[in-house]
Parts: sequence; C-alpha cells; structure tokens
Amino acid sequence: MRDALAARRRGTEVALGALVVIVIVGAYVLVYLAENPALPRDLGGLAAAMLGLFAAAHLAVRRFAPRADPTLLPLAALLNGIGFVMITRLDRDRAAADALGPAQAVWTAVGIAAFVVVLVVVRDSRGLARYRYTFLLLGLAALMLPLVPGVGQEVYGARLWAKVGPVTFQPGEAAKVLLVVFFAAYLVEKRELLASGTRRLGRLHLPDPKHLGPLLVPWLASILIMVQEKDLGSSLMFFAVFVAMLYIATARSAYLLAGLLLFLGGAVTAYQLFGHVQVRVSTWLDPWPVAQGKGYQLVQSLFAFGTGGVAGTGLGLGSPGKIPQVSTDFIFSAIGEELGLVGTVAVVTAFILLVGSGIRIAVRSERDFPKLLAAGLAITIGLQAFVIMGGVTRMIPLTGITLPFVSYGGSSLVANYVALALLLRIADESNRHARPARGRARTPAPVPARSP
Amino acid sequence: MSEGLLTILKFCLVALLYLFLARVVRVTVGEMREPLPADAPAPRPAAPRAPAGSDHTAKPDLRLEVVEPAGRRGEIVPVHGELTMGRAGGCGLVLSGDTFVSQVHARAFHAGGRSWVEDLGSTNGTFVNGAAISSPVRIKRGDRIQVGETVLEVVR
Amino acid sequence: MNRTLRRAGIAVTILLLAVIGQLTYLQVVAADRLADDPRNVRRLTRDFSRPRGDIVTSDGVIVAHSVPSHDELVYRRVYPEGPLYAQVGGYQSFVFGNTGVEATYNDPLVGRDARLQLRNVRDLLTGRPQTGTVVLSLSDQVQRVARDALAGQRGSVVALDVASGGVVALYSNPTFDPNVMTSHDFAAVQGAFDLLRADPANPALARAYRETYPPGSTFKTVTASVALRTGTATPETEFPVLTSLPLPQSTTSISNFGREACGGTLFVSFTRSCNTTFARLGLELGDRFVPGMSRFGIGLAPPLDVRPGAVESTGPAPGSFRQNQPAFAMAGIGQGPDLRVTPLEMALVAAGIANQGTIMRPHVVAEIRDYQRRVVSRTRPSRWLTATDPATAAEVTKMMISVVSDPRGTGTAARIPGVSVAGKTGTAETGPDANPHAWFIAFAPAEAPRFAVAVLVEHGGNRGSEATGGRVAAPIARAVLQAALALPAGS
Repeated sequence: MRDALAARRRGTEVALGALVVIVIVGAYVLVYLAENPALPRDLGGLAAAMLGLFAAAHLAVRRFAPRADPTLLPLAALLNGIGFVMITRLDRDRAAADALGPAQAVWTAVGIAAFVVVLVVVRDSRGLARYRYTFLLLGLAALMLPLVPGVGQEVYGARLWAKVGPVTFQPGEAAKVLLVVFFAAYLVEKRELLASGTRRLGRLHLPDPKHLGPLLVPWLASILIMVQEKDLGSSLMFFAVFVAMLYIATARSAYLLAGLLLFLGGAVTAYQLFGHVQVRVSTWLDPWPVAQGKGYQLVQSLFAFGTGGVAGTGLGLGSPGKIPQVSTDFIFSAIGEELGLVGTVAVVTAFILLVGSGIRIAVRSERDFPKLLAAGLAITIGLQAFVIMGGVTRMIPLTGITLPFVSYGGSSLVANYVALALLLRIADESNRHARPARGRARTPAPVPARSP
Repeated sequence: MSEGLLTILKFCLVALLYLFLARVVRVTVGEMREPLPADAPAPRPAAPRAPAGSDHTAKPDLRLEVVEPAGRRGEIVPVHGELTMGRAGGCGLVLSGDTFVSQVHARAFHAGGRSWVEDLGSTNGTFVNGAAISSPVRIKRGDRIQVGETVLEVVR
Repeated sequence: MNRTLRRAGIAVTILLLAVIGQLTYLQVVAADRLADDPRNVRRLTRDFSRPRGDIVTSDGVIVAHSVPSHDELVYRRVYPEGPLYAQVGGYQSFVFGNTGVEATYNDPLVGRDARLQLRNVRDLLTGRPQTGTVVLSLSDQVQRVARDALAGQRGSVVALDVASGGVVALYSNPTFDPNVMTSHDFAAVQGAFDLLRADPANPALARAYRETYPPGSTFKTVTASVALRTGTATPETEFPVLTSLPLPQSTTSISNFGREACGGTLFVSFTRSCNTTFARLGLELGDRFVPGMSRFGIGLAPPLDVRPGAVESTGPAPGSFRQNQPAFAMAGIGQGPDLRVTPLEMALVAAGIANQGTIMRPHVVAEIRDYQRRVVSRTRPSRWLTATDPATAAEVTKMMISVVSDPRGTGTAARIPGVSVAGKTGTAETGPDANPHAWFIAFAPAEAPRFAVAVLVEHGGNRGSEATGGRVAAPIARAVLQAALALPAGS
C-alpha cells in the first residue's frame, strides 16, 4: 500500500464489503428458511463464491486503483447481491430447466472479470478519449445489431436482442457505455464552440443553429431506436443522458430547453404514429380497465407493492411470480412485495448513494474528459434506475429496461460493471496527486528556513 | 420455520441493510470534509485582510491558542477574516523566533462560514494534526496547526 | 463545469427521491386498497396457507375453525354448526372471497393485527401461533332457541343486548351451509354458489339485516315516540273511535284490523293498535315525522360489523308531506310504499326505547383473544343514535308493557311469568294476494331492560292468512327473551 489515504479507503471497502456479504448471505438463508426447516446446503459454497468475487474485485482495485472511493464497489455488490437472491427466490416458481439464478451467478463472475480487465487495461482514462470515434462506431453498431436479420431477436415485442452462436445478449447495454465515452470526448473537444455561439431570443441565449447538429444526431438516433426496436426506455435514456452531458459541458440552459422541446416533439410524434406507444401511455394513465389485458403486468406490480406494505411479506413468503417478467423488468416489484417499503427505500437509497459518489468523483476530477465521463456514467446509472423504478410504480409510462446491477441479465451486469470500473479509475486518478489531508503521516524533520 | 421468527429475522436483515447504508453515508460525509480543489476558496486574495485600525473588538471568526513554544504557551491569537503567520514583520502572527518558519509561511482564514488553513509555499510545510497539507484544509476546534516549531490549536 | 455537474446530480437525486415518494404512496397510503383489491389474490393465497384463528360464541361454542387440508392451500375452514351461524360468521372462500365476520375480522384471525403481534413478541421466537380468536357477542343458547322457535318458517330473529348493542342472536330462515363454500374443489364451490343463487328462496340472503319489509304496527312505537317528543300528543290525548279514516289527496281510507271500531286515548289506541289513531298522528306530525324517524335510524344503514353490511331502512322523503300526505298517514301505521325496514332496524328501535332513548352501535363481535384465549381487545359499547329522550322512552315503555299485560292488548302471547315484558305487535300488509308479515318487537325486563328482540315471520309463516304478529311472532319473541334472560347478568 502506497499511502495512508489508499490504506484507509481500501480498509473501508473491505469493511463495507464484509457487511454486504453478511446481508446477502442472510437474505439467501431467509429465502430458504421460508420453505425449509434447515439451513441451505449450498450456503458455504455461496458464501465462498460471494467472498471470492468481492475479494477479486477488491484486490483489483487495491492493486490498480488504490485511491478510488471505497463506497462504489460495496454499493454495486449490495445491489447485485439483492438481485441475485431475488432471482434465485423467483426460480422457485419456475421449472428447474428455466432457472435463472445459476446463470446470473455466472454473469456476475463475468461482470467482475470485465471490471478487473477494465481496471488493468485502462490505466489512464484520458487514453479513452483518443479512441472516441472507434467507440462511436462500436456503439452505433451495437445499437443496430438487433436489426440485422438473422442476428436480431424480437422478445416481448421489442427488438433488443442479438444472437451470435449460442450466446444471446442485449447489445444496447454495451452501446450505453460506449456512447457515453464518445459523448464525453466529443463534448470536451467541442465545448468551447458549443458554449460560445449564441443568438439572443428575448432573455434566452440560443445556440447557433449550426451547433444544434450534435443535439439532433443523437435525437434522431434515439427516435430510430424507438421506431425500429420499439425500445422506449433506452431511447429515452440515451437522449436524456446526452442532453444532461451537453448541459454539464456547456452550462447552457438553452440546450436543456431545446432538448426538452425535441423530446416532447419526438414523444408526441411517436404517440401519434405508433400503437404500442399509445398503449403504454394509456395503461400508464389508467391501467385498471385493462387489468386483465395489456395492463396486467403493471396492475400486478402495483398489487405487489401494495401487498408488501411497509414491512413486506417476508422473503420467500409473497407471490411475486404473478408478475410476468418479474426477474428482469419487474424485479423491483418483487423486492417491494417481499421486503416492503423498507426494502425498496433501501434500494433507491443505494442508487442515490451510487449516483452521488459518481458525481463526487466527477467533481473532484481535475480534467474535463474524465470529469464528463464520470458524470455521464453516474447519470446513466441513475436515470436507468429511475426509468424502470418509475415505470413499475406507475410514476411514468412503463418501459422495459433493466434495473442496473439488480435485474437478471448478463449484458446489463457486464456493462454496469465496466461503467463502475471506469468510475473507480477516474476516482483513483483525481486522488493520485492530491496528498492526504487528514492522514496520520509522520511529520518530516524540518530544515531551517533560509533567511532572506 | 415459524413465521414470527422469520419476521424477526427479516427485520434484523433490514436493520443490517440500513446499517450498511448508514456506514456508506458516514464514509461519504467524512470524505466530503476533505476540501476538494474546487471547493476551496481561491488561494491568495480571498478573504479581505482586516484593515489597520478596524474594529478588533468584534467577535473573531476563529481563535488559535499557542501550544508550542512553551514560552508563548496559552497565548490566544484571534483571527478576523484572515491571519498570516511567518517571520516577516507584516504577518498577523509574527514568529520571528522560529528559524524553521518561512517569511510568509501560512495563513488561516475564514471563508464561506468555515475556517481554513493554507500553506503559502513555505520551505518546511504546514501540518494539520501531523499531516502535511498541499491545499487549503478545513480546520475545526481541536485541530493542531504546526508551522516550523510553533504549534497552534484551534480553540473556536 | 462543477456547478452544472452538481445541478445534474441533484436533478437525478430528486428523480430518485420522487420514486421514494411514489413508493410511500403505493406501500403506505394506498397499500390496503391495493392489497384488498378483489383482483389481487396475493393476500388471499397467503391467508389460506397459514393457520387461522377460531370464531367462537360468547358461551364458547366453536363457529369456525381451520383443519389441515393436505393440499396446496394447506388449511380448510370448517363450520361445525353448519347453517346456524352462516349469516353472521360468513365464510372464507378462495373463489368468492370472505363474508361476514370472516371478512371484517380477517386481520385478527390470521394474526395480521399489531395488538396481537406486540402481545406475542415472545411467542414469535417460539413459533407459537399468532392467530387471534374472535369471540362473538352471540350466545349459542339463544341462537338455538331462535332457530327452533322459528321452526323452519321464513323469517328472522334479532336479539340485542340493549346496553352494549351486542347482538345476542341473529338468525334467519332459509339459510345455507357455509361448509360448501370452503371446499378447495373450486368447481364444486362454483356449483354450490350457483345453486344458492338459483334457489328462489334465496338462502344466501341474510334477511335479518339485508332485506327490508313493511314494519306494520310495530312502527307505531316510532310514531308514538315522535308524537310524544314533539308534543303533538300525550298518552292521554283523546282520539275519535273510528272504523276507518279517509285519506286526504286520495279516494282510499285506512281501516282498523278486522274493521273494528277503535280509538280513545293514545295509550289505549297503542295497546289495541288502532290504525285510525296512528294514521291521523302521521298526518298531524307531517314534515316533523321524517326527521323523527331518522333519529331512530330510518334512512341509515346500521354500522353492523359484518361484510356485506346491513342495508338501509327507508321512509318517506323529507319535506314531502304537502304533495304526499297519504304516505305519511300510511307511515304512521308502518305501511306505505316508502317505508321499509330490516328486522335488525326494528330490534334497534326496541333497544333504543329500552335504553332510555339511546341506540347503541350494534356489533356481533365482543372480543378478540389470542391463541391462549387471553383477551387482546374488547368491543367498547358506543352510542349510535339518540332516538328520543328518556321521558318519552319511559312513556312509550309503559304503553308497550300494556300491549303485553293488558287483556285487551295484542301481545299477550309474549307474557313471561315473573318478568314484565314490553312489546308491540305488527301485522304488515304485503299486497292484495299475499298474506301479511307477522312482526313482534319487545324488550325485557321492562323496568330494567337487558334484551330487545325483533321477530319477523314472512307472510304469516305456517298460519298463513290466520296469522297476526300477536299470534305468530310474539311466542317466538317470548322464547328468545326467556333464553336470553337465562344468561348470566353482566355477560
């Protein structure tokens, strides 16, 4: 260990991680006890696997990003763990052949591996900026992949999946991280330009029309995703993240306004053109008349939250299996039913803390590109969590996307662990030069000051 | 397994969950106490230096008590806005006897409702609670500031 | 960039906090509504898969208990008394939901009750049952007498403890066996339900509190109370002796029972149940009549603690006297198209007069106990309505005693040796081709009332056109009152 700051932070990370392992193993045991009078036989294996995975991630951070903030990895582990326990619990209502728990365990391992690889390979976040157009191309390619005939798969009416050989995945999740890296690099390069040229319109400073290009391109891209892949959630998120990053980079609220108008225009057009958008909106406004039809999922989700109440029915004691797709889009509803308000608020709080830590990392970062990248990643995680949690609680129209770290899904887990690794890398960099302020470093022997 | 026992265990689990979140909050808040480059006020001309003859009977923003050297122990140094420390005669706290102190060594100041200490490029550095500082550092009651062989304790 | 960065961070945080707001709405404010929504089977599934407390009568007879079912619903509900308590206890059905006490006291029965849970924190650890036992105010002794006295005739008996409002007996014919509704063979339950629905006698209908009838002369207790309280008449006020009274705004007239000449003082008119006198009182009261009735609960649904709850009894529209005078004359004698009451309502009228003018809130559950039968909570008696003042109640009581004790009275069949009984008969016309309903309301002991009772026998029961309230209903009321008075005082 190189210094006191690093030692303290990694120590904290271990302590928090240990607490997470206790909570998750405890939750797993409770699920099991709900049906059986003894402890699960695979308890030792599970605890060892969890400790092993956390230790691997922790050691990678200790070795490759020792001064990074200590709270992010445990928070992600907590969310990942809660998700895993719920997924294994939901397997009970499912045929053994369709069990998702083992797959999620494997995907978690793959996610941690990706996390370690990113920490090892990306030694300097600024290096990423150099490959921005590569990332753009990769990101766009990933977005388009599900549209390629023979590769793309339509599942539940949305074309989000790609199948290459035996592996099915959601390339949109990878595109998310790739495009945020591109946005950050692009905006840092152009921010002076984007922030300068303005036209006055009353009290508003409007950006020059020629600079609206960068706003229009992602807008069109997100409309395209929506139209072609029927993926409302992702398109909404891409656009919102981009507008937020544009605003952060330029400090021009006019971009926010223009972004909002474009979004509303797109939303109204989509509503008028596409039946599935109208259905989403009308079930959001009033799901009750279609409780047995198109509103079934949402209504069952609301029932799950209501039945959970404040304290929840208890792990393994509810009936979350009544919601279709509960392991992916609706996992938050299952948490709401079995752990109640105390559980859901804990999950939302974990996301708030995760986003807060991400924003803090961005604030502390001294250079523009890592700063904007960290902000973009933190906002992506926060907004994605909001879009799906808001959707299943009927705050906003429901759109099917995963709850970061919690939902079942390999693509999502791997992408989010990559984002986490990038955040830790940036955090480590901004603390690398700063000397500790409150450590217990020994006072060096003073030398007499030169007299003038 | 009794449902009651499961309920109790569930609440224990939730309590642990919140204990974890509370610890994360505590760690985060603890780290936020450390000044960020962006949080610290701009180094030099930040706080206006109290003009000569100004009303020094007003309540000082900050009080420092001399701990070392023993000869000046117990002396209270009030800080109105800003206090420079060094061997130069123009400093707010003149430490002419301490050969390890630079001419203008460090300053303590009050800004944004908080108290800070900043090293002004001294030869031997400024220490807060034994740790060398490189940027303005927040100080609070009980902290010890060391410049050369002189140690000051924040008493308010 | 840090300023805009912080703003963006705050914006995302606010969005996430809004999610917490929405969660609080769903999981606290709207939680019960969502959990109890009929389309939400979660709570139902859960309630079936865990033990459920017993429902017992005040004298310890088990009305409902659960037995292991050896299927996925784990427990099955059994009603050892079968049809006797179907209309109070209700049933717990996976297919049709819960009714009666099974519905209103579902939470304590399954142990979802904070008082039960707090009490048994220690038991939580040892895994003892958390379920509550629901103790009815009904007495098995009185309930059986009510059933036997009705002797299969269609009708209802309601007996109340006048001081507490506790229901001591509540029975109506025909009834049904709730055990058929709790089968885990859902097709069988559906079949049984369809049979109940198809039965023209409608045995699933809790006639005692969910069906309304013309009250007939029993309603003269209300007419007399309102007249006395408003000063329209005193017991000594003289009324002409008539055989019939022509109605204003109409070509018809009201005649006395058996076309006899009847009249004299209000007291005598009450004892002999003179229609001419009370029709005239209805006209004299005019628009004061309806507010007076509503003080007795006409126009209101009694807050009985069962689900579905008691239905509302109805009277003429307030302020309609000018355009609808015959209805007020008819209401004076408990007839007319506008006036319809439940047997429960008439029992409450009798209880109100017995209880010095105050009608207590009726309830069928007296206590919640834990699995060890320790009392967790008691239903506290509370006032439902102030029907009249104590002085008026005392005057009406005297008239009601005379109905039973006076040899010319119509309710002599309700006499109990050694006990003074106050009562009022009713023989309610139900149309030109149907036999009248036989009614009797009463309370005893008249000088220190403990129990009030209302008896209705539809269309005169076995006596048919021969039936009167005095002949058919009064003996049933006597039997029920006798059984109730045999209960230990203060129970």
